[in-house]
Formats: sequence, C-alpha cells, structure tokens
Amino acid sequence: MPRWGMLFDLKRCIGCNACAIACKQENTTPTGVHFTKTVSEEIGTYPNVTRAYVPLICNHCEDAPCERACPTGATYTNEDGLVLVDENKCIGCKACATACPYKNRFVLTKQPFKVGYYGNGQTPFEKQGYGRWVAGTATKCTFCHERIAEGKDPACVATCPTEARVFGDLDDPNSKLRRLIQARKGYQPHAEFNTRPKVFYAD
Amino acid sequence: MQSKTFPIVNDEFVLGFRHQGEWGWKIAIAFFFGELGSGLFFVSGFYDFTMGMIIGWFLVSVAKPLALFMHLGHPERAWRAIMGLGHSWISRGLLASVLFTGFGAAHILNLHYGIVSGGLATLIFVVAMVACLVVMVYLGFVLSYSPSISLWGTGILPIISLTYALLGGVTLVLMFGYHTLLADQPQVLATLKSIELGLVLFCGVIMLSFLHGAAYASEAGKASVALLLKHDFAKWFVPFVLVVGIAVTALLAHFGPTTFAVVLAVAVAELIGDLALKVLLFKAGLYLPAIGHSRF
Repeated sequence: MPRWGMLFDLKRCIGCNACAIACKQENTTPTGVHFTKTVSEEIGTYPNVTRAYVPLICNHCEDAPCERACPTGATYTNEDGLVLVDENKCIGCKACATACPYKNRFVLTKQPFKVGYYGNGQTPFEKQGYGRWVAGTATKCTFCHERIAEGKDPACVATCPTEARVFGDLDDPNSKLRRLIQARKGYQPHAEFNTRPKVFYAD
Repeated sequence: MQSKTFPIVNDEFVLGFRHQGEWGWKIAIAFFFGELGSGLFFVSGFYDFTMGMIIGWFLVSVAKPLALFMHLGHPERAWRAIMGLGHSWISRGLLASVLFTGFGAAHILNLHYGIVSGGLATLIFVVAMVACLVVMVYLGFVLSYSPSISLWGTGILPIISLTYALLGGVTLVLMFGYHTLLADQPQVLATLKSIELGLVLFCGVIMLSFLHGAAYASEAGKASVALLLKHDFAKWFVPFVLVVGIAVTALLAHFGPTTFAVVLAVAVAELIGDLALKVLLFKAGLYLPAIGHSRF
C-alpha cells in the first residue's frame, strides 16, 4: 500500500491561496473551516522587510495525537496511512481539535449550515455539498482520498499554479516527492513532537 | 523549537500563536465539579462522613456529566467515549467516573443500611476510592496530548488537579462537617486544618513551578504565561487565582479563628481560585505556529 505524503516548496509558494479555494470547492467546507490555507509572515523591519508564505494542511501524522486523544475511535488511520474521521462515531468532544499540535482539526457547528456563507441561507453550491457533513462532529483534511482513489492528486495540489505542492508515495524511492525531500532536505513541522508528520517543507 | 516571538492571531491568514478555543467554560465547569466532588468524597471517605460523600457523589455523577453533555456535539453518543481505553485518557476518566458512580453509591448505601460487611464492603470502598483518585487527576493527562500547547503539556498538571481536588475536599468537609462530624471530633478538625494549610501552601509552590515551567518550555508557553500575569487574563488570574485562591485562603486558614464564618470564607475563597484556574487554563492555551521562517 502507498504511504501518501506531501511536500511544500516554500521557495515556490506565492501565497495566492488558490489551494484554499480549490479545497473549499472540492469539499464544500462551511464558513471558518479551511482544511488547507496559506498564511503569511512578515520578516524583518523597515526598510529591510519581506513577506513569506507558509502553506498549512493536516500532516496525517503517523503517530497522530488527535487519534490518540479520540475517546471513541472516530479518528482512525486507514490502510493508506491517511488519518480520517468516522462522523458516525464522533461525539463532538473536540479532544482531537485540542490535541492536534498543528491546529488542523475542525469541529462543525450548526450555525454555518443554517445561515450559509453569506448569512441569508445556503447557496445552491452549499446545498449540493453540505450533505456530506454532520453538524456537531469533528472533521479534517482527507488528502482528497476520493480523488486519490481515482488516481488524481488532491485538489489543492492539482490547482497550485506554481507547483509548490508535491504529492506522492513516501515509500516509493523514485517518486517525485521522495526525490525532492532528499534533494532539498525536506523537514517535518515540529519534528521534535515525535508525531512523524507525512507533510514536509523545503526551504 | 522556534526562537522568535509571533503575534497572537485568531482566524487570520497570518503566522502566529493561535488561541485554543475548542474547550471553554463548559469543560472547565465539568472538571471543576468532577475534581471537587471526587476530592470531597475521597476526604469524607476516611471519616465515614456520609453527607460529604453524598454531595461529592452528586457533583461527580450528576453535575459533571450535565456540564459535559452541554459541551458535546452529540451527547446521545456519549457512551461511545468508553471505547478508547487503550489510548485515550478521556475514556479512562469516563471508566473511572462510571466505576465511582456505581461503587461510590454502593459504599454510601452500605454505610447507611449495612447491607454487606467484611471483605466485600472493603472491596467496594477501595474500588470507589481508587476510581475517585483517577477522577481527581485525569484532567491533567487529558490536557497533555497536545505538545504544541506548552501551558498544558506538563507533568505538573495532574499534580495540580490532585492538589486542588484534595484541597477542595478538605475545605468542604470542614464546612459541611463543622456542626456535625467535627463538632464531636475536635482532633479531626485540627488535623484537617493542618492538611488544609499544607495543601494551600503546596498549591502556591506548584503554581509557581507550573508558570515557570510553561514560560521556559517554548515561546507559546511564554506568551501564555504573559497572558495570565501581564496581559488579557491578568485581571482575572492574579486577583482570583493567586490572591483570593491561594494567598487569602492561606492567611485565613492559618491566622483565622476556627469559627464557621472563617471556615466558610476559606472554602469560598478556595473554590473561587480553583474555578478561576480551570477557566483560565483553557482560555490561555496557545498553539505554536506550525513552522516559521524565523528558522532561516
């Protein structure tokens, strides 16, 4: 079985957040839920100042604190190494959301489903997509596992205009992902936490 | 470990420390009731003080679940929380709470009606007390899952939970038992007063250790401690947790006369400090940013 992972090339990311939009379009996530996004950081002080961008996504950790914290087993790791949520088992205790060191877990509240994106009811887009969510449960990025099953890249990877996101099998030594991690000395976010993330960053 | 101080941000698309917002006052109240009730039962158990045990049992078995149900997104599925005993401290705490509810009630009934005696009665008592002990400490373990929130990721938290639970138990036994249990047994009153003072002083020391450890654990921990001592939450933490909850409680416990009014004042001051600490512990939790370019 593959062990899916991702690499963010920080030299290529331009902070356009097309990834965040593509994710929203693919998953119809309600207001306030961003499975992926790119945050900015100002570095330096005037006149020597610059702005850098950091993409964020669930790291699908091999030793996921969210999975350990979950009291019901609703958070689980599938055979492809993806950390997923069974919303039928989730009780909405939010333990996973507090446990995730990267703050990449979300809890779906009822309000966004009632009022929609613009506060005046659901748009047709929201109506077609909200069926997949259960209010009061936790949710997270799935690496677009339905797309992966069809042989496609996750939506955020497919849409990235600068190819700053590289997706692939971490166990395949010939995959572009694995070669880039080795060549660019890819590193994991907060490796010191021993969560063994499957997302890498390259400077 | 990041070496740079970041701004505290919320949902902005900006790199920075982020507030923990998923657990708030409902969980704080639930654990306040749980620890206080288990502490009260535990201390009462040593003196066969039935009123204290009944109130403690009620706090753990009725008040705490009600607060937790208010927090859950799907309370009707709450029973599922027992499924993760192998990895989740929430599950272990729930199991302990269930055991406590059953064996604690059995012990109270047995004390009153004398249904069983000998080894079986002792077994019921021991299981109730061990379960009680787990209920007292498990919040600290629950909070230790996220290594990113330095304020929570410390081994001191279970000890803080235990200390506050026992302190709450002692002050409430002194209060509820002042005209009953303690009126007949002045030596118990003197013992409990000494334990109370010792626990308050230990609370002060361990609170300093907790804040010191968090401040030097990471930049997020330092920012959390600054929130508690200097910025947003200082107006609550300093007067309620440190002054009322520890200093005033210690001074009253040591210098105050042993009258019911003083015993009541000590209990109220201690409970204010305990509740304020629980709420602020959740409010002041900050996550480290996933990565920062400051590593360059």
